[in-house]
Amino acid sequence: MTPFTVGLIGIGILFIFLFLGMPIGIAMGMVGFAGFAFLRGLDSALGVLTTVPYRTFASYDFSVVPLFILMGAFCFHAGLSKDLYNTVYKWLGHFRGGLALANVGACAGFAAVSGSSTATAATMGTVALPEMERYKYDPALATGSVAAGGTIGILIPPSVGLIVYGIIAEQSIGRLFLAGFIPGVLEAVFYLITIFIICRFNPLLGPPGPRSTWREKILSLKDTWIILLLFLLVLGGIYFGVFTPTEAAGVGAFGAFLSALFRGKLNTLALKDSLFETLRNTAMILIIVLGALILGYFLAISRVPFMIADTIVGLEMNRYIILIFILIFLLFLGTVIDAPAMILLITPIFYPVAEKLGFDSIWFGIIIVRMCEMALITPPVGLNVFVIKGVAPDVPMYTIFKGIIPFLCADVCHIALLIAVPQLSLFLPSLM
Amino acid sequence: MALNKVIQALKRVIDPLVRIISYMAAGVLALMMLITAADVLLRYLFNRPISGTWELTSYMMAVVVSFGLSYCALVKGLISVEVLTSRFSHRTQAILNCVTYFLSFCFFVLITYRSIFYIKLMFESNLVSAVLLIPAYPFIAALALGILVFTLVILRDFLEYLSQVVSR
Repeated sequence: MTPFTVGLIGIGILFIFLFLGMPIGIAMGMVGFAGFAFLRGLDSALGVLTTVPYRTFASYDFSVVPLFILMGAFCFHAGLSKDLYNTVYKWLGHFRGGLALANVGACAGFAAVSGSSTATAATMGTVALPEMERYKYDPALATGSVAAGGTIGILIPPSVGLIVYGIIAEQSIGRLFLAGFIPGVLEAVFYLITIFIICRFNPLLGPPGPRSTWREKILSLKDTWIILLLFLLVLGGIYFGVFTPTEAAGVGAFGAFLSALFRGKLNTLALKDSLFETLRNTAMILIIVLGALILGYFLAISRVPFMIADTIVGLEMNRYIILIFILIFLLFLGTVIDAPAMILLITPIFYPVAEKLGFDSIWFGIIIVRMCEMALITPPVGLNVFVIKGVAPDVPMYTIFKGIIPFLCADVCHIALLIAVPQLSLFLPSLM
Repeated sequence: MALNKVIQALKRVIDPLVRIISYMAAGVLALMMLITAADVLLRYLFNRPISGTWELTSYMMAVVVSFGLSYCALVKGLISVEVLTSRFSHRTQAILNCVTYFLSFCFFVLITYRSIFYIKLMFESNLVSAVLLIPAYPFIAALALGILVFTLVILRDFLEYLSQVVSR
């Protein structure tokens, strides 16, 4: 059997394991190990198992993952998500669909300190959905806007999705963060416009809330300036080369810790919860990273990614048509696998293709991450939908998906724009 | 039933172990944040960085991740694809989980064994870090311990699924 055949069989077995419910990281590691042993002998494969776990876990580069997760956790446990929602509501609430607008705005704001879509959706869901029920919002619009708004979490830096892409594709995390900023803000704008249009045609779906005075508006900012400060500190520090991403994450987490402490929101329980939540999420991601690296060794000697790249390039199709096929594939896969796991799974396979096709590596990362976001709300599965269902058990799934459809249309337009105008992603990193 | 007794016995060993090492991991995580922030502040405010933060952070990461693994597994934090399996009957799910967790267990027994072997290797070669000259083997030992406990949690999960399969 040629290494290429072994590689393809390996990928086939991997997907069987995945769909039988084996933990993703373990399945990747096991197939990688078995395939490597088959091609290079058991001794070499055992050699991989000896060194790779330690090299993966004892890594300075990966310390950026727990530190950024910790920053988000402190912000959450300090009650910042609720304050943020209240602030945005004071500013946007009196418009038609004001609560839904506040949702998206607060999600975008929370994304600036949090790197995960599902976490952002869950956080905002618990805060926003009871309010929307109180003001008699259409449940479809209410749940749809939170599910969609949550996805902004992984595009606006810090982003766990961009970090893992950067590590696997060996791209600068700092540049990726800067690249994600404009697309992330644009995504929020697209969602705001979507809500605006929906409520314009049917004002009953999202009745306007009471108007706040300017005094209330300004006063509401005092609870949330810390988010802006942390965000500017982190992104500005990386941009001006003051910090490495790890240092930015450490300083950000420490800042979030201090702010929670001074606001009197950090009791022992909140501290413990923040640390343990971070521990759990870090281990969850790193076990998949470990699996992805072991699988990567196997795929590299099987040469499957390069052959796929060669074959695809050999088709002599327009490279954008190939890109669209890749994105559709990602959309299917991404509906069942959470974003970081998905990026770890597909980057080793598709990154060589993108490179051969001459796509910019940073831009490709943004597009992949953006696509994973869209997959999170795509029927019939869409992980964020399940998160929202968990927060709002009374709303039927059908209603949530109905509410999501307009946002999916916005997603398609947004992705098309990002593909058509790469400068939206590449402008900020080019200034670095 | 004998199987349930084994599971209970395993639980009595695993729960305190996971508790101890996950609290250690949480402590080291907090320390890692403090050291990273202190290094940056000292460097910019007093021009006095902490030397060797790079290697300290790497070593601390080894502890945080390895000791966090079993906690993650215990609170069912391992991500898997459930879209297909959730449609199967309860019993079919238990059988499938039995198979996948047994394979996972075998794989991690192998990783535990190789990690212990790696401690020996690094102890003999006496590899130390570049700046602070801290030996690496204690951290590989921490990794081996963390993975061992993780393997035990997976074993317990496997036995629990097995008991679900045989009890009906």
